[in-house]
Amino acid sequence: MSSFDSVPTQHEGDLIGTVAGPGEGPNEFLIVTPDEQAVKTGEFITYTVSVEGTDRDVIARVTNREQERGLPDTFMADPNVAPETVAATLGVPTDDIDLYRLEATVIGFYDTRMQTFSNPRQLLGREPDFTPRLTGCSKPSCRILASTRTRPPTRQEISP
Amino acid sequence: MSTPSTGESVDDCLAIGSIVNSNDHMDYTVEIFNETDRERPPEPDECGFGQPVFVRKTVDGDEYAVMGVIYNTQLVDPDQGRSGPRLAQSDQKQFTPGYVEERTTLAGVALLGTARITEDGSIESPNHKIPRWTLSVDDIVLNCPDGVTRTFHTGEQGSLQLAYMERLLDIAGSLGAEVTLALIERLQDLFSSEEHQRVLSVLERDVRWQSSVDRGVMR
Repeated sequence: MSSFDSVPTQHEGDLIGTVAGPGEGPNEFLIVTPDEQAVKTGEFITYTVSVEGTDRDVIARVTNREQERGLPDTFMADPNVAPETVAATLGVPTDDIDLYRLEATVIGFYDTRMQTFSNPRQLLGREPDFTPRLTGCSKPSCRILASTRTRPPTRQEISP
Repeated sequence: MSTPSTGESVDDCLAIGSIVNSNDHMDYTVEIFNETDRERPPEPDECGFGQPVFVRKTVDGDEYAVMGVIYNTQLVDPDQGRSGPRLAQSDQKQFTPGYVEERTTLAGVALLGTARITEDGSIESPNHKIPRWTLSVDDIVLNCPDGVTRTFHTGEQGSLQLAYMERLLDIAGSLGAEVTLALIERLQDLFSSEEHQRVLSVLERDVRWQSSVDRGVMR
C-alpha cells in the first residue's frame, strides 16, 4: 500500500509527558505526565524515533495509569470537606501538583514495505549506530534506556 | 485569677517574659517574668503550653507582630545540688543575691509568622511564612489575645489558615503534635462556623493519627 509512503511524522499532538524509564516488560516503558485527563488507559500515544535515517512515529498504547503524586488521603477524611480546602488551609499549593505515571506498550511504526507495524526493537537491533545515538544523553537514565533498545530516549516528546 | 484577653488589639497586652536565647531562626527561649520582674507577672494559664504569644517589631518604619506559640517549658533552679553549708541564713537573702532569685521558668517559643500592626492596634495581612528578621535578646514577649489569634489565622475571604503547621511540627520536635493540637483546640473555640469546624476536625485527626503512627501506637 503506497498510500502509507507519505505518512509524515506527527508533531501536531499535544505533549502529554516525559519518558521516565523502562517498564517491566521488554516492550514497555513508563511516562510521567502532569495531565490527569488527556490520556487514559487504552489510548494511543506516539513518539518519534529515527529508523534507518528516517523519522518514524512509533505508536504505543497506554496499559496502566497510576497517580504518582497528589494530595494525601488524610485530606479526604471528611467527604464534606474538599481536600483542596484542607490543602489551602495548610498553605499547600493545589494547582498542577498531580503527577500520573503511565505504563505504555510499544506497538511499533507502520512499515510500508511490510505493510504492518514493526517494532523498532527488531529493526534497530540490526542497526550498528543505534546505541551511540541513544547514549548521546549523558544522564544515567539514558544509558539504561539505551540498553533496552526498544524505549524512546528520556526527555522524548510523547504525543497522543 | 486573670481572665484571658479576647480583644482584637495588640495594645495593652500582658507581658509574659523576655527573650534570653535562641536555638535557631524560628525557635526562641523566653524567661517568664516573676514577681521581681513585674508588678503583674503572668498567671500559669497565661503562659502555659500552647499559648499564642507575639513580639512587637518595627521594621522600616512599619510595626509588625511576630507571632509565636509556647511549645515547651523548663524550670531552672541554680540551687539544685548545692545543699552544703552556706554563709547566709535562710532569711538572709541579701547575702546571696545572685542565687536567691535565679529560680525561674523558661519557655520555648516557636515562631509562626508575622502580621502588620495597624494604627488602631489591630493586625492585618497575616503571613505564615518564616519571618525574615530575627528577634533580639530582651525583646518583650506578650500574651496574644484571642481576637488577634483569630485574625492571624484568617486568610483571604475569611478562610482558615494554618500554613505554619508543618513547620511547627518540625520545630517543636517531640511535642510538635501536642502543641499543634493545643492550637487547633483553641481555634475550634474561635472559629464557630461548620465549615471551619470540619476543616479543623480533619486536621486534628490527621495530626493525631500521624502522631500515633510515629510513636508506634498504630501502624
